[in-house]
Amino acid sequence: MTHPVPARVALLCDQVAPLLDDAGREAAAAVRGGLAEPLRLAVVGRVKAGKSTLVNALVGRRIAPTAAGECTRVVTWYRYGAPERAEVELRDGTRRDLPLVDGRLPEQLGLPDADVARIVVHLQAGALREHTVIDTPGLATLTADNEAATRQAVLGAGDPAGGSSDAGQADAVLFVFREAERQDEIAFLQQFRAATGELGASAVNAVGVLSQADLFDGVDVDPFVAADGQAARLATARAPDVSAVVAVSGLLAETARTGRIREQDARVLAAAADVPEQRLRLRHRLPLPDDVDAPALERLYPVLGNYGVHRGRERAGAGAHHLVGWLESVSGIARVEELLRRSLLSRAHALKAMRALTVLSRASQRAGADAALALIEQARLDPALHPVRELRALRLLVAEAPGSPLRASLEQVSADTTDTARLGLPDEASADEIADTARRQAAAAQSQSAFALMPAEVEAGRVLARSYQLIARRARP
Amino acid sequence: MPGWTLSIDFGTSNTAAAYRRHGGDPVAIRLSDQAEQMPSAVLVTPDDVWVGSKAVRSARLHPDGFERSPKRLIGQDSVLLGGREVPVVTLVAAVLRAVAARASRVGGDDRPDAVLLTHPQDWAEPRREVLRAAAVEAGFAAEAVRLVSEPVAAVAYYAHTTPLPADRTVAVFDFGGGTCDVALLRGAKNATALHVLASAGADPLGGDVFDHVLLTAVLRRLEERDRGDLVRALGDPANARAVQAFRNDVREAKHELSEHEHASIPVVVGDTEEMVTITATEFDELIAPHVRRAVDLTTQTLAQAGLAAADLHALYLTGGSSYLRAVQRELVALLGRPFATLGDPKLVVALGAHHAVLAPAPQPVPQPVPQPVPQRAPEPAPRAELPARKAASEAVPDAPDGPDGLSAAAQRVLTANPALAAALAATTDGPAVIDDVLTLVALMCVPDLVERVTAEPALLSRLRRANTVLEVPNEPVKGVPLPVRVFLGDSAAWTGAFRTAAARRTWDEEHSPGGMWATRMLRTWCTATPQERRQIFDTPKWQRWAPTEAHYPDGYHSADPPEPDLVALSPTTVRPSAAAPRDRNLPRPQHPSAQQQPYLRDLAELYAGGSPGMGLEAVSRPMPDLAAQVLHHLGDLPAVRRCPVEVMGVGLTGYKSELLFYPAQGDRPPAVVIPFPGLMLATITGTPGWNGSPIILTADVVTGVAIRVSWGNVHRRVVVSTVSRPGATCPPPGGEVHLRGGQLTDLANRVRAHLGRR
Repeated sequence: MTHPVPARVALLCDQVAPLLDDAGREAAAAVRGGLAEPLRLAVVGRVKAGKSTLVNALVGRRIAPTAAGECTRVVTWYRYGAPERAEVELRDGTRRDLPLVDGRLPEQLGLPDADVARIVVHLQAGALREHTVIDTPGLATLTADNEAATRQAVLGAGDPAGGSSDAGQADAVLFVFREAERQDEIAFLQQFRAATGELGASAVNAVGVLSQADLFDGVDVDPFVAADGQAARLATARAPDVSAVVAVSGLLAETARTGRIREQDARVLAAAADVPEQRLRLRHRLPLPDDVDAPALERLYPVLGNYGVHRGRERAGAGAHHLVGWLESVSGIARVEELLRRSLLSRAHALKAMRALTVLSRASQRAGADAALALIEQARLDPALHPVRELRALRLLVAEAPGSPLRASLEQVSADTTDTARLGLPDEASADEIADTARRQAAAAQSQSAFALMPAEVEAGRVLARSYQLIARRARP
Repeated sequence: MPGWTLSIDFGTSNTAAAYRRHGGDPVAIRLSDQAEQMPSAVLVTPDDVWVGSKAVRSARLHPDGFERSPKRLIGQDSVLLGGREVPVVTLVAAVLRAVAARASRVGGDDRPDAVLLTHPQDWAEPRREVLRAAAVEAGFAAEAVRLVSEPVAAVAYYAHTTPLPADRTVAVFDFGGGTCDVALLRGAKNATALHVLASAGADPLGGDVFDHVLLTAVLRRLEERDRGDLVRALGDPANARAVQAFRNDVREAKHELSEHEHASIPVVVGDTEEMVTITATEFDELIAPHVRRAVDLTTQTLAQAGLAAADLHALYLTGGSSYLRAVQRELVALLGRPFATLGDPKLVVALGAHHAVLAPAPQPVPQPVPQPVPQRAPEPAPRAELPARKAASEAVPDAPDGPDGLSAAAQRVLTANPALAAALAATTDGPAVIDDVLTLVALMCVPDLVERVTAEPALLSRLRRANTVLEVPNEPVKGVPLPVRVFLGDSAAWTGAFRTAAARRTWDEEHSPGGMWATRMLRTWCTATPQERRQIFDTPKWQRWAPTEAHYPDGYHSADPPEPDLVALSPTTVRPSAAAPRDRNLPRPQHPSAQQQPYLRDLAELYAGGSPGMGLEAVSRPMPDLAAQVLHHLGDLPAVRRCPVEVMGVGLTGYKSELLFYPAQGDRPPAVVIPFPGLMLATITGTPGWNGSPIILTADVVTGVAIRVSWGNVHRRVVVSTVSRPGATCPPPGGEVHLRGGQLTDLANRVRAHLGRR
């Protein structure tokens, strides 16, 4: 563990664990174990928001059942591992193998929901090397029965009794919004925030996607353009909750990524290229021209949706490969992955450290271990964990003053890059150059802090000055 | 030279200190010229470290050397300030040294026997160690330095005057400039053995946030007023001094708003100046989400400890932001009863630190002490239509109140019902629980309630918390009416007066079941001078004593017989003395236009009002004639410049008033003044629309004068429409005043001509 942030947290875990009670030791061990793992990304959203479809697209397998069966009511973890297998973890601590049906999770578990803690799926999928995906039950509202399950599964908050349940939870959140943001969706977000507290979703650890972009109502406008506009509005309105929102069509992405388009499908589509769109919409009442294979075309509708079938016809002439390429690019899934990389994976270490500190503090408070609390405070104040303080300041700033000029600098500094990149200097800059620039920027940040009006900005300036000070010190010790 | 002890409350935004001479009481040390406290800020200049007000004032000169809250840096080794690497300990030591210099002047020498430093509850050893090191660097002897946690100091301060019963939980709500911290503590025998059950903090949340909210609101008002140029000018670094002044004014205004109903904030850039007025209600709305967060923090902390608000023995407030009325209101609602504030909340921690370390001699804790009466009585939520004036409620003669802080009316009920008094004295809430208009009315009107409470003293607190509705049966009862019996049962004159059935019948017809009688009596009693009370007690002649104005308690519902009347007790306390005598002040129009302003200036005396006076005479005095007052202040007018009109509402008849046509005079432009007392409802919304007296119609507020037919009642009326000025109350934005009288065409033309409209 060469990165300084996880190294410092691991050291803290080792120091603190002996001072805690059994539950606390278990939590510390889980935190320590999690440091080496990929970032855990929880996919959270309302019922039928298209979470499982999106998960399939991200994983690149049609593994998650998308109908509202039992499996979509259970928390499911997708992690990198071989051999590929799935197992059910029961609340009593036992595990059972879960046979996959045609490579997919079964719709039915044959077990009562209440007994199941979670399903863990191990897949050899490249995407899972970067992040473990946690698919959560769709929530009608947080007041429903599954509130506790999701809350605990995702963030481990609000369960003071369960020591071990603190461990093994999510580091970051991907919110799936459906269509327009409705009033109850806003309420859902607010409840989610209230329920999750300090560890909850915020602009530093959460991003949003607007799913089902292909279904957007665009009168004379491409639905994706309409969805992009809506996503931009959502991002502005929910600035404290998510750092960005992008529109995506989970269905098109899933179809493109999971190899569901064969050459013959492309031929069927191409054959219908000249049929007016209006005619296709009326296909159940008016028969299609003879050269169109109507039953085969009909089978493509659930796979591609209206948008995919109608707009895909003109791309199908060049064959399945070309069609799939178009589907993938139009679906917007690449933008989602870019967003994950930029906003979450680049901060993975700090996000995990933030969660680790909270979990350890709670365990120490519960055990009444003052010595442990002192060690944790020492770690919090350690320059090695300064990235955690940066994240906290950034979250505050985005929540209170999203338009602040300090935001860009703080984002730049808190990303897990090199010191030259943090300062915006070329890679070959000399140590003296780095130190001088950093000191200059520290003074500028301190001045901004002195004149800032908003407390969040004052703190951002203060933290930023410290970041630059540490950079200067690293360059010229 | 006797020994002395120094305490320093080194806060996020401000620092306070207190000293105590051997055996004496702790006394606050004045740390700056304006206030007891000083800012905790530091400014690193090329060759020195400045602290406090001097640092804040000079921040402009070395912006990269300024740090507003060195406390937030504690934990990091050093900081780059003013181009230097300065150890954080040195910064903290600089602040402590400044305090020490001031303290040695009052302490007599610079070697206090003990130096008590307070720190947040959630600081663990590493950060406390920094504080200790800073004290040593500031020149204090290492062995003299002792650390006290802030909530423990706060509780010790209160526990010193009213000892805590063992095994009861208290909450400390510390709402300062930068952070809000809540801690739950449980005491053993003395304050040093306090045990912290749970604590939580929100950061940043405090006075700085409120300052910012208020400042943004002022800038928004300027934009709305098309003075965006001023807003942009403030953003120019060249005007840093103006920004500084503006921020100070905003902070002043915030303080003003915790005591007054509105505050005016000047925005001065160069030669231009604009005045922005913010009312207390607007301010409360602005800060509501943040206050909510603070209260939620309290709820969460309670939940963490598995407690309910009702389990608390007391809630102590410290920190400057706990002054805000919105905060107090929310906390009273959460707690269901008033809480304790003693002295200046900004100094509580510094003063209490002394009590926290000097274990008081073990005192027997006889009875749980009655709830300390808040020094600043939480006021009921201001009713929108009657802008409550502080002057009025303060001028109420509270002086005749009893020694234990109960209102005279509550005292009366306890005196008349000694069994009730004895029963209540044994409860934790104490007799203060009845000191509320509705509770007293319920005791006076609900049959058997006095007896039931005597048997089960906790009943009242429960009813008030649960917001239960009590039924008042409408059954005819003989003998002394219940309200009379409860309130004046020990007066032979009053009980004797109801011996005859006829007397009782008369009372029933006039007052039954007595809720109105009770309310009026409560307020009359609190208003009366001691001599008058004696007379009321001895002379059972209601009509002689009843003030002319009727008071309706909000929670009292009079039903038609045979349905029972209802009383709903409320967790909020309305002291019987709080509402009487009625406020005599006129509502001043808010956000006056430029042309209205000279008129308001000349009417200033009218709005200032005066003391409502004492006794029944003051309560029942009729309102003086407004027209006469206006003429007195604005100058007399010949008859030809006065024109009788009716100010119309929705009905067919209006309210008699007149138009006063004031010509231009001095800096006063011409205006039509309508001496119309009181409020006019906005007929569409049903909300008070015209909230200001008199109505001053100047050319810059009138957009049109027309004759219109109101189809609601087929009336022709002169309709004066006014401009839309957000925030204005008289005329309100886009309001209309409807007038009738004489020849409408002449009337309309006259108004038009006078205001220069054709």
